[in-house]
Amino acid sequence: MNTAKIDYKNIYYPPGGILIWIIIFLELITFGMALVAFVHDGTKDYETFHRAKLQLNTALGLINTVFLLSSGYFMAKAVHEFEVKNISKASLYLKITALGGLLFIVVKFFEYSAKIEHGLTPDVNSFYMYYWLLTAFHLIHVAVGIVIILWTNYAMRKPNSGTEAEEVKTCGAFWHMCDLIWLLLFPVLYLIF
Amino acid sequence: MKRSEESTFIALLALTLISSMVTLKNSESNTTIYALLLILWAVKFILVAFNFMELKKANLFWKVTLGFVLTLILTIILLLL
Repeated sequence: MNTAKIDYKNIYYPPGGILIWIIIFLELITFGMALVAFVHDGTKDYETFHRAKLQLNTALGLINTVFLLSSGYFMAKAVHEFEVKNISKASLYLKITALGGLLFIVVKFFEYSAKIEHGLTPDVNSFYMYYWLLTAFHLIHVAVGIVIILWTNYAMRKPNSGTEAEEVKTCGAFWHMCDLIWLLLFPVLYLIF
Repeated sequence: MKRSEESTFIALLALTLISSMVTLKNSESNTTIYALLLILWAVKFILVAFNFMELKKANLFWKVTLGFVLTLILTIILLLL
């Protein structure tokens, strides 16, 4: 394990690496622009958006927020434990993080099933077009994040593993990005209008 | 470090609870309530970025850029509402 200290105050070395932060900014700007378009369309067709918003299950959205925030907390703990070379604890926390992501997907599955059952598909109105597009795109990020977490966990558990703290931090940064996107999506989609 | 992670997590859960109470108590459309909710969620965004993602250790450039992107998105949304 390489324990060389990185100077995070250097502009080229943010925690997790510059490439993951470029991806994070691109993702935030993409989702942010879509949310601006959503609000713009919503103000032009307020009644449709208001009625559609009332059909969303805010409780499920809040439960999913708690799952993502909890998994983010365990990811931060996993990174910290890996830095102090406590690999077994780091591995346990990574597994709990992945479980949080899986629970998020399970809740989303129930939410999507109810929507499909009631015929609330993307072609119903522009609210649901945005709803499906944004939440499904975010869900893909969560699924990819789980794969990255499980792969990182597998790699760090191998005997003579060459996994470095910065790689675990990069994995963590991707997972926290899913949190950040959800923290933008949830209030705009579920709480306003 | 450990205490910081724990206090951040508690603060995030408390803010989620407060925002859900605000939502439940104000079912009617109100721009001030929307603004309050968006600000509460923006605080959560900042907490995750600075404490969980360790952005507080990063160069000022990254902190300012993230703050700028978040402020820009929220300002445009609030102006549109």
